[in-house]
Amino acid sequence: MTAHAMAGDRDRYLAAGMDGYLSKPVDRNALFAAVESPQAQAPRGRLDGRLPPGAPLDREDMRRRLGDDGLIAEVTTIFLEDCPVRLAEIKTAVAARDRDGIRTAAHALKGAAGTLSASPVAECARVLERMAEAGAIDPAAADAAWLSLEAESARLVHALGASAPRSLQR
Amino acid sequence: MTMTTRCAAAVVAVSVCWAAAGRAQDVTEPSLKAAFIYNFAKFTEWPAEGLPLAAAFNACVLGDPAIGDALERSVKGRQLSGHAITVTRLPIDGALRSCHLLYLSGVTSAQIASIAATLRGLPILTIGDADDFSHLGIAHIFVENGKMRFNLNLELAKRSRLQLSSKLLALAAHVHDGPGTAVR
Repeated sequence: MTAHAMAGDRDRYLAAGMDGYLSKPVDRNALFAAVESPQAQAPRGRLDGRLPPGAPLDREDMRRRLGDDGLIAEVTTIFLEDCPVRLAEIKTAVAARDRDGIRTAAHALKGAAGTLSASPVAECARVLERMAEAGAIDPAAADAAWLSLEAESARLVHALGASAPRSLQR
Repeated sequence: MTMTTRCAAAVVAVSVCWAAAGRAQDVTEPSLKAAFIYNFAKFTEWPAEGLPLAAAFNACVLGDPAIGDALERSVKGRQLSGHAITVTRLPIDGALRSCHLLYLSGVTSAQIASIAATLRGLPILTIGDADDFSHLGIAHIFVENGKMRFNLNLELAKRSRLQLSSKLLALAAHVHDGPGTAVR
């Protein structure tokens, strides 16, 4: 809920990873509708029972390292093309308890997300990579880590899609 | 739409395209490196005698074939200040002097040092990912805390008569300017 009620504010907040948007003054019906919306109640991925906090990516940090809009656009494209492929690979590998598959795909996703300063996704991928490196996969932990990664990736893809040039959106 | 559904939709949309291609090797890191390499070239100026107006820009890759492939994808349809770009994959005893940019990987530090000595003073932007590359070449790509970054050796760039833009220098993790010094 915010006092920022200008045109475009809603998209900005949703792009930053918020589940919903309400502006002041508060409309009673809009408030109840928002709280009862599927978005507000949708189960989110969990990691050790906690949600990874924060925005899906640190745009300032990314700009400090990549600076040039061209490079940011290119790294973003690489990530947007790569993320769904890696997620599909990780999902299959987690289901099959395939350690090598998890490690390779999670490592690649970690690198692309990290270079975008997208810590939540990079961190979720790192958890899976470590799990695969450590030894036999604990099914419950791997499934939980996968759900976290999937949810965080969706948040990040959405944030990038909303801010990337139209040509990068898919 | 919930976030999970959104992501799942994205997974389906793109995995269909890629499934046919069937990729066994890791293309993520090479693609990121290629993006960095092109960006270095974009923000570097070559002396006119090193890169005449009508000449094509020769981007050479020694070692890792995945980088050559990624760079080819990355520069496709692009130019550098009006110069067409060709990507050349070279063996260690190849025509290194014909390169405007040289990416070195999969070679030993001793080999890099020997190549650097051969190319000394020539306007060739040397880029690499070996641990001690900061002292041997101009742009050193490395991964720190999971993020791809780079160091620049300004002293070597000057000696090679290459002008690195202030924008590029500002983005570097470290800029080496003179023996044993690190600016910034």
